[in-house]
Amino acid sequence: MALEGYAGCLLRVDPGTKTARKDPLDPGLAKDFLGGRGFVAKLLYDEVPPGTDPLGPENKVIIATGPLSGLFLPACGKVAFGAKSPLTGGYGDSNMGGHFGPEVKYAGYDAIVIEGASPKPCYIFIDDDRVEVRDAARLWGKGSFETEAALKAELGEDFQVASIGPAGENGCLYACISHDWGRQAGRTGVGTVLGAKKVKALAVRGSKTIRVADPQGAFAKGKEMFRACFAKPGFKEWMTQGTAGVTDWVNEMGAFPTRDFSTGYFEGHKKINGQALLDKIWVTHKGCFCCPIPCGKYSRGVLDGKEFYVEGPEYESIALLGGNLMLDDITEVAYANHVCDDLGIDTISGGAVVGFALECFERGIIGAREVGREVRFGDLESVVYLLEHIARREGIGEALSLGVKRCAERWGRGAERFAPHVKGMEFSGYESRWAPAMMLAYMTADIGAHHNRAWAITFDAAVGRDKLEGKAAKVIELQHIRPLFDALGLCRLPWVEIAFELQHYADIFPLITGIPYTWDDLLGVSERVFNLTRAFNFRHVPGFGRGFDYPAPRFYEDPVPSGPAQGKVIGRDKLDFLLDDYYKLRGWDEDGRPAAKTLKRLGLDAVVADIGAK
Amino acid sequence: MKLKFKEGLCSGCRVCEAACAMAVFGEENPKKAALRVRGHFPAPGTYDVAVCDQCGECAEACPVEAIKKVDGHYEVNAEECTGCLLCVEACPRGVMFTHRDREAPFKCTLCGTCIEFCPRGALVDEEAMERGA
Amino acid sequence: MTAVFVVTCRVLGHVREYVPGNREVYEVTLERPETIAQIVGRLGSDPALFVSALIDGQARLKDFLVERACELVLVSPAAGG
Repeated sequence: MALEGYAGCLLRVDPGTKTARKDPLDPGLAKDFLGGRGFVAKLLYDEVPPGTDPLGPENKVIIATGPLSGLFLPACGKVAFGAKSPLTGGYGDSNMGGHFGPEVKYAGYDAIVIEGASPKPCYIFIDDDRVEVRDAARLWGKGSFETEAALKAELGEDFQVASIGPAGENGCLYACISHDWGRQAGRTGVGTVLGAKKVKALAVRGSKTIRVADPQGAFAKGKEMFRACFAKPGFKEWMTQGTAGVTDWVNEMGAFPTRDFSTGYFEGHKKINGQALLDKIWVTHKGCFCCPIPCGKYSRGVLDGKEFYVEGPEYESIALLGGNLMLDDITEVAYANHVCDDLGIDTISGGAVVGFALECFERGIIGAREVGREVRFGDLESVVYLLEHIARREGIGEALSLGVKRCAERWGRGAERFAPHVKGMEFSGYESRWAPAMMLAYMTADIGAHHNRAWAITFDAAVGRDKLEGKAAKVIELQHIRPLFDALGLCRLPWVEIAFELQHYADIFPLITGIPYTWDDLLGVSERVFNLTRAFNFRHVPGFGRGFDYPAPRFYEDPVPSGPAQGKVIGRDKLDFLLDDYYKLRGWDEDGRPAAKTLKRLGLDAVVADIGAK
Repeated sequence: MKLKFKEGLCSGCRVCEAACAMAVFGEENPKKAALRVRGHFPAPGTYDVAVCDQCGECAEACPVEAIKKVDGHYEVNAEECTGCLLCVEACPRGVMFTHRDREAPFKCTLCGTCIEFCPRGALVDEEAMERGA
Repeated sequence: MTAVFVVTCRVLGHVREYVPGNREVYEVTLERPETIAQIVGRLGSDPALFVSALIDGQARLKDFLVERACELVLVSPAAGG
């Protein structure tokens, strides 16, 4: 069966032996796991054995495009990166926009598996069929902007670059991968794993055509999809502020992370919202491949007479670097964003860790001697000081670079009571003590506290924020739809923002691949992947089970002290209710272990024995 | 039809490139597009699109007269082309393109697909605008 | 003499699901000026669900008084990157 829509090849690169191997893409893998996050999950499950050290040579970095990546249809520039996470010890993946994924496909590869480790800094060079592991000594130590500039200057502007910064080189556990002057694969420390393999960057150029099943049909449908986007009401307007445009609304909901997640409303939010961005620093609306609604806001700021550039800050960075650290100036938030991007630190985990450090300092859990100076909320200097130490893993940065969970375990003195994480990965930008579906989404996301899998705040608001019934069902529904985009190589924002109909994707899928899947078939793959990554966690995280699905006690014992959600908290017994409902609907047992019946229904028979499913 | 790039609107999405290759060659391959998006990063942080303005320098440079004006645009006759690539060198805007799949270079033939599908309105038909269309 | 006017409401984004009827376009006939928030209430929805509103393409706050026929676009909130 000739695969269409796919490049048809899996590339393996060992930077240690400097060898590359090209295997035909297994049609079964494509049929059962689609691509993107699906490939990441399946390849990691099969090829990274339990007990593998995430920073050791047996861990693998998987880079996977989707069957719909790189084509003439809206918003198809996404690519998935994944590895066993050094931050959580469990399954890790992160999605990235820009133009990298399509280029990998034009070069002739659906996925790249980086296995082994190099003794010396290197980068992976790919130009169609030419694959080389090249020396990167002169790039090692450079920030992501300088690295991208250097590689493009040497190789050509038409190369797409993905690189790590000093944070990934030095082993910060939440290091990200950067691309195209401001896009990242941010979460779970995939950048850290590249750093452990001494792979500084990938530089890719491709010239090949992607063969599709019905080129004329695909062209007609692609045109129809773009025209449908253009015809949506408010099509032009919604994207002027990008995701920063939701800042005020989240504050009105009382769900804005403020002062290390101690409350849900930030007094200074209007100074760091989307309008502030447009008024003070915006330069260009910047988009990913084939996206009709570019959410990227490329900005230029000036601080102390020095100019800097950053793509952002987008909502998550405004939340975690702004409200969470009490920075009430958009230029300062943008600068903190720029520092994270250049050093290669995930702005979400980075902002959460810095916020946690500031609260620990305030409470006397850590002191000026350990930190090296006084630090406080609302002070950009404190923030930059901590970020730089984290990237170099120096002084207090050595502990902070390990994430809030390990810091809290190391410091004790009550820190574990409020460390903002689930499963060891820090919360993203929604304070959820008055949003049961959102809290449950954070509790049950496979990679830790991230909103990518399910974002349910409007659902909570629409059906009742105090209600618990029906919340689990909604979270599960979203956890199948949203990550499906990650498997197809698409961005979900057109659906989220302008209600671009999901049926369009179901219609074009067979025109591209020749595989006659319905939307329900595609969702079925998503459910399979969600159970597979749950099983990965059971195999890889010692003692994994229900206990790993809860946040720290602050998040179910302490009522929100201020703002629109003042007085609200979802108590432990209610979280139990939500989790029980969720496990039942998922076909998992009371410990959250997928049942044998569920696994077999999803074609994951081999997993039954792997995790002792009953 | 007069294809023109409007400053300040391009988001770098490259829908124009994807659409062009589909319209002209029926292929999913932006590297076969007859226009190119160029980013200027990290500073000033803007994009422009290199488009053909049908100046005719390519036709003048061609030693075998393989490039002729047809219906208001210049077109390469792939059969007559000898592959000398003098037209590529002569093009003042770098919009005479080559690709390893094709023996002859190719260029914009003013089909207007890019104009229709640019989501940002950064590519326009200047003549239509002047006519008030 | 009251002049009746029609406000064409377009619901943009996923919050459509939480507006009775789950449609993209609704027509609301008013006999006197009302705020955007009040008009959303007439649709059977909660104005707090929407992140912003546009009257004839211009961003307006939810307490903006709508006094004549126009197009009201209600925008769903994004979910950050």
